[in-house]
Amino acid sequence: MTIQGWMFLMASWVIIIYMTVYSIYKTIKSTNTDKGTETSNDGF
Amino acid sequence: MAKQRWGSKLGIIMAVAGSAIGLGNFLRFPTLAAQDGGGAFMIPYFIALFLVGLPLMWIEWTIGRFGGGLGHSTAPGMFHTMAEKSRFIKYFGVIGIFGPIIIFIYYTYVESWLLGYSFFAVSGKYAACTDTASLKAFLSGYQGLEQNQYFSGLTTAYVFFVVTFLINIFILYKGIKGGIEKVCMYGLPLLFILAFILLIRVFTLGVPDPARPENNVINGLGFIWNPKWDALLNPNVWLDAAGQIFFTLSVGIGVILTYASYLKKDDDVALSGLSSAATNEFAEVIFGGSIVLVSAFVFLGAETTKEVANSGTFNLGMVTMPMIFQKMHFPAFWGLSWFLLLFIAGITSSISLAQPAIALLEDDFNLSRKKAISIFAIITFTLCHAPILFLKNGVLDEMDFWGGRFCLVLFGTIEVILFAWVFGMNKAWTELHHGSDITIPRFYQFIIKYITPAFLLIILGSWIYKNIGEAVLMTNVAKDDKVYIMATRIGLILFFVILACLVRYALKKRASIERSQR
Repeated sequence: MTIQGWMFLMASWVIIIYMTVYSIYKTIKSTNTDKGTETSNDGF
Repeated sequence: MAKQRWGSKLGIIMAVAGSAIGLGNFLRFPTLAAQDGGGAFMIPYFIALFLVGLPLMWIEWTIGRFGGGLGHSTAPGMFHTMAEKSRFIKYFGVIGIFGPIIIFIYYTYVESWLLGYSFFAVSGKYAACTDTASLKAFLSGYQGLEQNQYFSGLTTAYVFFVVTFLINIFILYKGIKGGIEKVCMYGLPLLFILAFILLIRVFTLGVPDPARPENNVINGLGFIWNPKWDALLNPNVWLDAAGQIFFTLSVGIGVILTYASYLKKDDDVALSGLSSAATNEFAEVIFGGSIVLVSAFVFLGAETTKEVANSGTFNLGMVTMPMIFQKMHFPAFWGLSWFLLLFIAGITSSISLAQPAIALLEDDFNLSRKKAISIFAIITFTLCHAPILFLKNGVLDEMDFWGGRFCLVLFGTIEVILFAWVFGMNKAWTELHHGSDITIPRFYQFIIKYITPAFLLIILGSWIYKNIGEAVLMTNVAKDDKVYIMATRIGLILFFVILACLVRYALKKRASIERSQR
């Protein structure tokens, strides 16, 4: 496997893992939070 | 009749992700990635994800919740409400019911093969098949394409089809919260656990044949990820990448519209859309990109793997994988894990495909869920016999071509134009952010309004240019099969017209009731 191959694999995996963990974390957090008391939301 | 609702936010995300995660994640994606430039394929793939996939995901979630708030559960009613001045837009919305039914009809049969193979893995029925030729013969015998020492007819396949069909109907009968949501809440984690176990096994395969040390896991990953830069100059690679994003996310089918219609008015759609897309991508890129091709490479080498991948999408999953498992310790366990994983991926998708038609019967014809599902079951069970009995004549492929490909791209293009240009971008953006748990970056307004429609029109145009002439003229169809293909096309047109008449009747009836109540 070439260095470029590793770079593509790592970059793809990092983007996907970040998106998944971030969005599921936010979902669980927002499910556990009373929406009425939440003052702001974040960009992703 | 009280409208059904999801039990939890995570429940609907799991349901949409379950609908998106299907056989394409584990079979189609790795094959395309390896064929179309390895790591270089991921560049157009990610560009398409962020310019087409995510915007369409958000559009469908938003239209679905908006339409659901006005009492519509399917695309025709939603489109009609969004473009009030148009009398014809509802007929474009019919595609959002027609497409999923057509896919359901053949997808359930394909899904039943996986249930059958899960059973065979445990019973050891294919254990005697240790090479590609015998496993291909086993699959052909099972599908009824030939009579051989493994199968003398379609009986076994038919029994597994009936069982699979009944499982689907039972889950649907249990409703949105008690059926679909529950199955996805348990099924998706189980799918991820099975995929993780298989991934670990694949990564610890080492060098099975000491005489060929180059066939190892690292080189297997290199087979998929090493970039071929010249591939980026090939327009087909860009089309394949965009097409894969389209199909893998289940956008352009109409299912997400119906699922999102069961949300409450203030429920979030922006984060939910992102979560379901991300979960699907995790299954596709991490698991799908590693399990099949790496194990095939390690046992068969690059050339044979390429040959099998080019000979058909199912051959890798249903011919090569069982053969590889036979060479491992505990082949029954690995075979069961693999086929069960695919079966779960299939069933969470097929139940979603049924929902738009059931929602039409329930909400627009005011039928009880029991009656709606009974009607749906009788009609689809009857129609399923076409791809089962005439598989060898290309009926299944023909249904997939129109219902599973053409309708998706066309419907997606209509949706984005309706959302950004007819409904209006400012109104649409406000609707998308209503009750939202995240703020989508503002540049997505520009992307949704200009880039996504342009991208989709190019995909649709190129796709039509590449495929439609050949399809209409049936140049690749064998002479004896032409009559079956023509019959399928006539059947599809008739079915669309009947659905359009039903939709027209339902919306007229609804309008007259609303007028009398004013």
